[in-house]
Amino acid sequence: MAQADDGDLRLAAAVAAGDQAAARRLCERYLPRVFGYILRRTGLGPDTAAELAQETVVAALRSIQHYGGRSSLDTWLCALARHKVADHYRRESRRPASLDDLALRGLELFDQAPLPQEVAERDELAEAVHRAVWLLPPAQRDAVLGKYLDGLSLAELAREMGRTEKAVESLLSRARATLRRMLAAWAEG
Amino acid sequence: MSTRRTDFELNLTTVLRARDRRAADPTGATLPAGVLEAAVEACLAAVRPRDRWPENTRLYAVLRAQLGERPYRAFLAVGAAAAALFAVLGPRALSWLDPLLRSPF
Repeated sequence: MAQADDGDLRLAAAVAAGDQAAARRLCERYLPRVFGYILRRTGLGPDTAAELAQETVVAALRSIQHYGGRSSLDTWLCALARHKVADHYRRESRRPASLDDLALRGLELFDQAPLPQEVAERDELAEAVHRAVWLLPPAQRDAVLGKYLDGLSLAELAREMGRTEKAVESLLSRARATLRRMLAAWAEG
Repeated sequence: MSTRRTDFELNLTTVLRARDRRAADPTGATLPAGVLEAAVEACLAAVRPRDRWPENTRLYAVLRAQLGERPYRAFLAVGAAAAALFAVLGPRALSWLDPLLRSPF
């Protein structure tokens, strides 16, 4: 986890004191980063990702007095963004709205064979899989994204999550079981 | 069982990273037009004092600025305003102080 530097602490203190120029600086510096973070880690389109990025930065400014400097502002904002994204997926209906034939075929095959490239790169399938991942309990979701998206080893994940490797393996095992069930149910409609 | 798990994990990796690969492309992670400007406005509104009397009044802002720059003049001005109120309204101008001073709090 990245540590806060003096710049982070000074910027947060200025925003907490009501400094408008500092608020503008924080927004201009971090909104594009939060947007990119949401876009890369979810199945959301650019408009929804931008909306959630804005909600994240505004929420950060409103609660800046809770930023204790234990992590960098970047890390703190990404944690807030994860809450916003999870809330977004929970608010929506669980099943993805648009599953075309190729995406449905992908869901059927998901647990049975390597997906053909044109299926694996289908936006609708990515949206469904990301949605299923974001509907997992937070620790399971973070473990899945860390392992399969970021490519972290079990040891790295355990260090990042502050758990033992055995505990992380158990989280991953439960997450895979839930994902299998969820994707199979969506494939059946 | 182990083959199934491998296929599942392989597919999970491929699908999750397909999006990541596209977003990592500089053209794939550009904020939609106008979003930054709107967000900056929302951010500035978020840090403006809201529903906080008297901080959000113009008089308070002027007094605060004057206190910082010319404190004696500001005290004199407030004193003169209080004296003028007392002169016009008499003791009633300060009657609200009475219950306050007698309050157990």
